[in-house]
Amino acid sequence: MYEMLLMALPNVLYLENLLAVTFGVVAGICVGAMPGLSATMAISVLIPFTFGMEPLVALGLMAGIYNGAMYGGAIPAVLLKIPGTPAAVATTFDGYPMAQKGRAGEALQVAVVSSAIGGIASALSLMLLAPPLAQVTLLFGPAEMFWIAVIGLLSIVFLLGGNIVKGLASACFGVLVSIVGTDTLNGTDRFTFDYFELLDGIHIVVLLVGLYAMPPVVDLLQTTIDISNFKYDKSATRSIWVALPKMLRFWKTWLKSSLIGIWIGILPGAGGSMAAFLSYNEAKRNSDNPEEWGQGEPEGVAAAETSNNADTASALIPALTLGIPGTAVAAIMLGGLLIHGLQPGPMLFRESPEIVFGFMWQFLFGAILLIFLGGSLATNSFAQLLRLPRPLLGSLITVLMFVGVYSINERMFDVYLMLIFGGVGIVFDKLKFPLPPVVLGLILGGFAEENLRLSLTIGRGDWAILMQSITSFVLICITLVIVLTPLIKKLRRKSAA
Amino acid sequence: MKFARPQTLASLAFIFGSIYLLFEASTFKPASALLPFAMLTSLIVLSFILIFMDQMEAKDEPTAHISLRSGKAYLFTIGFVVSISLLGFYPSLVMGLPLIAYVFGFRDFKFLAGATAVIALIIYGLFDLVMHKDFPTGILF
Repeated sequence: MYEMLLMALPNVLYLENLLAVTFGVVAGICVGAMPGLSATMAISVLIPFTFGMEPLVALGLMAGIYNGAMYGGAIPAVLLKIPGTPAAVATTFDGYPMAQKGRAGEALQVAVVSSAIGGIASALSLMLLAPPLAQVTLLFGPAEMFWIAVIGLLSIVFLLGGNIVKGLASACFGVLVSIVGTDTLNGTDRFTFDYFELLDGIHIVVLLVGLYAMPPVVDLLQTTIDISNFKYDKSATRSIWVALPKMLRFWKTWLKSSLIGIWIGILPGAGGSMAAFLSYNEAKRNSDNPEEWGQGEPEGVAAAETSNNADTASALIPALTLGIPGTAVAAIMLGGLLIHGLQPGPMLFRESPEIVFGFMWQFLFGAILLIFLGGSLATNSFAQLLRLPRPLLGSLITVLMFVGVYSINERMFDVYLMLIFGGVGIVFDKLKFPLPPVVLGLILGGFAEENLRLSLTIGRGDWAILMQSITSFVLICITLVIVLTPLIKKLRRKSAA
Repeated sequence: MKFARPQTLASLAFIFGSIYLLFEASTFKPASALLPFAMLTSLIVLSFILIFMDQMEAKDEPTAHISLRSGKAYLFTIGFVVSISLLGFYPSLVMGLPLIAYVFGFRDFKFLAGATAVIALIIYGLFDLVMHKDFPTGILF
């Protein structure tokens, strides 16, 4: 399968595909630099605009945004001590003290180079690990695919942390949304309430934009950020080619943090912030001068930024091969693949190898591109993004949400539906119901139902067919481990207390 | 039992909504009703657990209140969409975009006018001229 990876390279080198990645990285940095906005929100708003595009152009934009946003989060983390994205919290520990000492430019350059290295390692891991895993999953039948969907849904609920009951409720809500529409197997209209607009089901983009874009817009409009402590000395920022050789002493940190980030990315539900914290602590533990950490140690910025970018592409390993996303952004990207007619899972590698492997190359190019955007001119320009007026951005995103959702089918019904999901998103956000299980419920609900019914048809209605093969048995065991591990840990903690 | 708590209210909404949908699902063919029944009954059970958890919390923290801070921004978004239905997309864009930004604290009139004009032109050029998308014209005109 690796020869297909090489064969996909020329497709990626078309000008429009390279431009898409470049634009995506720059846009991602801008989004990440705005506290309250995230890659998840940006990709949700972007997806409807990619309908008419070639799949590789659309996916290149998404890959670029994901890479760029993870670095962009470091800009306010360094300059204002406000992480632009949740994954940039650990970057504030040493980035902000560096800025206070007049070394903001240096901190941002360490961040961008480390982000690039983490991103490159992550893209390489995706290229190396996804193809063999996809070949294994080709052996799965409907019963095994049903269990894969169950594992995907439960893993994001149980491993995400937080309240499991709320996670399960979110997943049920997502599966219920997936049920709306005409049942393609027997023509039954389910929860359509005589609206012909619902016969084809609820478009994933309508849900994504409502759930993921509305809460940040509300946040942008209603909260202000104090930039009075914004300090930035443009002249102190050096050329990246002068700064880069001095950073080579971080090679051990880059290597360890990349491995931690990749591992955390593959684990469903963990995410970039956990990777950044783990890497930061690990690098500090191994440092010769741990007492200086927290007071402006560049290696701390390197550790955090390497690992939060190293979990980007690796989160797509289970997403592309099994349809189980490792992070919320990966779940959104699955939605992006679906609207281009690409069903995540083992068949994706067989049916559209040029696209899936091209997508992997785009992740690699996006990460490499970050180094070129770490120059003094770009670094100084991105630092000024914090001065953009938040209410204007909020109202602009509101307009973009409308334009994107309306453009899908050119009907107001979808826009009103998006507003309803937006309201649900705000309520879920306030009550701390996790949103990724809703998206995954929508993506995997129909997939699980289809495979369950197919299995029952093959087994002539006998439910035992779901447990007959060894693979099914192994998958059931994995499901039990996923469900029981957090519960056992909780019980242990209680008994220890 | 304290009902005026956000989590309890949301869980009650889940329960009543699920019961209503269960009646609806009872009209489906058996194969089509399997997943809806499983999900709706699970949601009802989970909602009862959430109410129980919230009421236990209410004993320690009896004054949980419902914040309406997000409501204002959400209402403005709804207002913007309703105005598109009534007035059409471009009139609503030209009025709504600066109005929302102004209400939420950005008061630079020149910048607002310039930004609105640029955004309207970009959307018109990209969606109307290039992609041939027809935005709603409104029912009042």
